[in-house]
Amino acid sequence: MARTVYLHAAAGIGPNASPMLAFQASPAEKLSADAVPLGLRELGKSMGIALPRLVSRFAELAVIGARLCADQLDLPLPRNTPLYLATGLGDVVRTDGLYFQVMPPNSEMASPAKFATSGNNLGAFFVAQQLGLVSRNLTISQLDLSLEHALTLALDDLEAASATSALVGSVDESTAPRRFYRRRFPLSADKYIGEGSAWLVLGTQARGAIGEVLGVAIDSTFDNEDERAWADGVSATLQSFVDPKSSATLLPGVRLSDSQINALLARQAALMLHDYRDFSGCLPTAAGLAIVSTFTAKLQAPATYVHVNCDAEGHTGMIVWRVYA
Amino acid sequence: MARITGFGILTSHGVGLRALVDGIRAGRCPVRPATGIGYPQQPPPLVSGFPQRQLPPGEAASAVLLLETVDQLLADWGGDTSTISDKDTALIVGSGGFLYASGAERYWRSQQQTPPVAPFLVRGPAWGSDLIAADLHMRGTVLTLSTGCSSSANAILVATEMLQRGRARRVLVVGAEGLSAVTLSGFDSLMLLNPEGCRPFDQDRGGLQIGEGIAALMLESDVTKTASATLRGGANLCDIHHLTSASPDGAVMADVMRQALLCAGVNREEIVAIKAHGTGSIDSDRAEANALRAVFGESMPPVVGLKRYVGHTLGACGAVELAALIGCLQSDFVPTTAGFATVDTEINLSPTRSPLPARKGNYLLNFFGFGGNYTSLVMAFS
Repeated sequence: MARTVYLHAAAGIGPNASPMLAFQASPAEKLSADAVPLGLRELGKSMGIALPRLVSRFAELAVIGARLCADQLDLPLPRNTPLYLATGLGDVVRTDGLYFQVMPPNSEMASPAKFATSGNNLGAFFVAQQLGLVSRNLTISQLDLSLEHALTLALDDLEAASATSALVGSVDESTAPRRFYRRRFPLSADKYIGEGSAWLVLGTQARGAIGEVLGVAIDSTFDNEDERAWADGVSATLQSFVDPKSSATLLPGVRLSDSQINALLARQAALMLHDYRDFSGCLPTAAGLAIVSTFTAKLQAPATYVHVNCDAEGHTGMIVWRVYA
Repeated sequence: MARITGFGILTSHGVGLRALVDGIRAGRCPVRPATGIGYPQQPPPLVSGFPQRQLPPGEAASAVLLLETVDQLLADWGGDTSTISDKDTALIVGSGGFLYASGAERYWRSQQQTPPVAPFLVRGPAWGSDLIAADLHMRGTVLTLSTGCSSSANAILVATEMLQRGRARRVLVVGAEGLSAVTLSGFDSLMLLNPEGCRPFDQDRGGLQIGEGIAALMLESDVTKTASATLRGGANLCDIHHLTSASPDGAVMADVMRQALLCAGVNREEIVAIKAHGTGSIDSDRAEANALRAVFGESMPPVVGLKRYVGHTLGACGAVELAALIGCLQSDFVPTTAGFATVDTEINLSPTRSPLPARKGNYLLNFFGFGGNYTSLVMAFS
């Protein structure tokens, strides 16, 4: 990136109604079961968020996370701040509810109010409405690398100076039960389904920054069948963002296997592992929770973090950022 | 600059841009009952559906239609198909995601069974882009934009910016939407369908005419490629007035048009015609007419609406209607706005009543959706 992009706010909500999963959480906070869908309506009310009665959980989740993030700022976001919402599955629970309503044995017409408040982009609409943003408003979806794509678009817009700040969020609902979840994701017995809404404010001004984005990359040329070759590819890409000899913390994405993680740690000795997945649970956009969690750590010195994930199609996504002390 | 160097399209007029353009020139607006998706009430509404043909069941049907349209694009493009798997070739799909749902609906209806699991839970909105990328062995950027009815317009906008910024050399853009009992009955429940068909900006307009469509476009930055249409830029804004209805004065619609002109480096006086969103709904058409007047004043270029010909193809309408307009311009005409007969004195906008000769110059295209997601594009035709 030719232009430094700073992080000005980072917040969200993770599973089990935790306001945020702490980066240095105690083992007791690890998930021990699939995340129970959060009771969002009451939480929203306690934050003074008023939404239409039939708004979907997906939209509620988006709005609550975005408000937690925006509330960290001293001033409201400028009205023209572009908004990028990443989601692996979109407004899936509401849409599937409508699907079963019209399919046998129900065979009913879709409920007008539920239909009007469904749609993948309505989470981003309600966030914009809550924050008063009349701006670019994009909902981006590419399963396990949705956030990486959203960040790439946001960084490109900041780089092109078409905006000076950007709001980037990642939102996915709990889609239990496991037998459905496993149709698209190889969820092992010791991993749990998560949900969450994590948001970042990016900007080109250094004043008031809490961190900076060092780089985002998505690559499809690494050999995912050979862990060592894959780790070589990842390591080579990371070197363009961070000195391989300086220490950094690896936060592994939900699709990374243990052998991939071990290969990467062996390839880049200065990487330390923090497996946040035990706290976030598995969701397509867990990367957002990983990033936000690092801003809850009490640091004596700036720290660098690396998030690496894959998708089922052979792409590898990498996000590198620094948190200021 | 993003030059449009190839087309593949499937609409209610059948396969290919030629069939669509010939249909528009002849004033054909094919509709049929929305059968086969298990519409919950009888009779089902009339829709601009794909011509019916034998297809494999369920998801496979949607996959066949999608990949056939991409194959059609590649044949029309005529470039070196080995470059599709280059890292600098990107794929952006714009869709509300109902192409897959419609396949699943057809399948479970045909089986007379309750589906064991809903389609979105398994696939997510990226189903189509993953399918195309895998089929073409693509290694560049692959992403899906899901912003309701502006989905593929935003895909075109983002693709144009990627090319302008040197993030890709070519971008394959696909807009895709199939008939779905969920969406159709949802619009019906909201009383937004017009059983008489779409009548853009007409005094007696009464709602939407839903369609299904798939359009694939190749956008390239290579200035040596011959192309009659070039995307100059565009803009996207969110109108936070209301979830499903535009602010009546059309203020944000006007702003998105102004921003699109600014991004494209084009003055309003340089716009030779406008492809309106023109859904035929009472509120949306009123807001768009007010917005057009705010931007163009008394010097309004010809305005054309295309949705009576192809239906409102929802998330696909950006790609479908851009391709349709270019096809008509290449055939030397700006179409009549089918469905329009009587000026609504309240909005006082009179779209094209007869075909006009195609002119070289800049065209403005509007695409507006639920969730206040508004996109305008500026396309140069030469």
